[in-house]
Amino acid sequence: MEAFTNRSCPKCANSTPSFLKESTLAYACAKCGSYALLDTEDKWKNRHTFDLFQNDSQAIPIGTTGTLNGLNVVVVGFAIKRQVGTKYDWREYTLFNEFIGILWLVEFNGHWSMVTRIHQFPRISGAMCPTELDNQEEVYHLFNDYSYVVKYAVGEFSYDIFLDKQKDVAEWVTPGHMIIRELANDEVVWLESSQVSLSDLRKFSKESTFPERIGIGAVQKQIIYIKPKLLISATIICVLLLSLIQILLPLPVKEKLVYERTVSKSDLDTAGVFIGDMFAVGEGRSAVQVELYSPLDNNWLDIDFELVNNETGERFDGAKSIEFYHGYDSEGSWSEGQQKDYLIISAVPGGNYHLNFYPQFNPQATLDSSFRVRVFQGVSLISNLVWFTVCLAVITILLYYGIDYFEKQRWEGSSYNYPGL
Amino acid sequence: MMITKVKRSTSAYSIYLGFLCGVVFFFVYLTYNGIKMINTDDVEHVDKQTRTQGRTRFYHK
Repeated sequence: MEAFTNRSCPKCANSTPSFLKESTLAYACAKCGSYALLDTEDKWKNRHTFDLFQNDSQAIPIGTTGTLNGLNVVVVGFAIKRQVGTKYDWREYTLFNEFIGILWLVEFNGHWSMVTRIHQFPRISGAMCPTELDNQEEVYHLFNDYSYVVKYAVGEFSYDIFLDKQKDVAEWVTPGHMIIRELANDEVVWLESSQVSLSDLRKFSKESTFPERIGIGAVQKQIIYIKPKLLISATIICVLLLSLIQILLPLPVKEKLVYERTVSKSDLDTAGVFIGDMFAVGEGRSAVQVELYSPLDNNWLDIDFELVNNETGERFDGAKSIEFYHGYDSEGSWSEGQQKDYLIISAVPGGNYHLNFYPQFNPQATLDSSFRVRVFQGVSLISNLVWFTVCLAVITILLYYGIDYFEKQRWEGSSYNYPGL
Repeated sequence: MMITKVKRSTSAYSIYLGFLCGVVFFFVYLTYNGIKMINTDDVEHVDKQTRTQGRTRFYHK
């Protein structure tokens, strides 16, 4: 974007390039600090003289040209503004785009945002400054309302920056976006603001040194921001889907009893081993459940076993202790342990198998002491569904609180209480 | 100019939805292959017949 002409300061005749051309209504000189306004007779009238020492924080020089948020812009003016009654200053770069016209690049605490004018503003009913605004499925919460004054300005402006001396501003935010209303001299101006990334700014003004960020900006976007309602509903839908899969997914190996045998102490060989008969596990991989039962009565039984593939020798070693005790005491009857237990063997390939048992009976056990083993193929793994649900719930809770924490930090810069997610 | 509809970071949504899709596929894989995600049972898998290794002697039927 080229400047057509040079403009001379009406007070000190300092010559600077003009980008706004005929649209210029006000001009602040960088050399002498004079602020002049074009009157109705097209004559410049000096309105104010700025203290040049005030300009100690301009990061981007006037005349810088480039692309910001997808718009080709040139910096035409710069102003430092202060919230009335405070020492909060922010910096406002007036930008010009050939199609949109004037827009602003605002910096506060190292956070940059682009402010543009909007002409279709939200409907407001009831209070003059409502705490909430609804716009396009987004709820905006009142973030700040204040008045400001201009401390310093330089460059060209298409409006009088001193219009009415002081402007009343209200800001409403939703994560990553802001709607601003400025009231001055019976005029209402609606604006919107969105974040400008530091990487875009560095490309825009390569020579500039940008101030360090402090805290979370009013329109700063969260990298992981997901609307809480969407986050929760997506997680619930996912858990429901997993439940349906658990119920409806056709498995290659149907659940069925493939082996059952009762083994007595007298069935063991001299080495204390019992070798079971062969049984087949269906083709494909499946979870196999080995269920052990013994009619124990105040007794225990340790069972080591091997599930052995007859063809490949692949082996699954398992161990289970069963104990069951019961009795009476001063508090009544009690019992401990159980007569039946089971364990799951994961991903057992199809084929012919047998079981080797190495039971350890209580030395006092009689020869007719026994245990029953039942083997089921293709058992349903409900524990997977439980673990997945727990993990998803934990991740969702962590994300929710992460988003909530970020928003709380954002609202620390507000004069209003955090409204919550 | 109308008020811009807020542009949410699509990458966050995409990553989360991608993650959920990954979760579903992983769940299907485990379920289909009968793999217990966290198996607290005392089970040890031995690939091949090894007479000298393992907790107990090996008996081949």
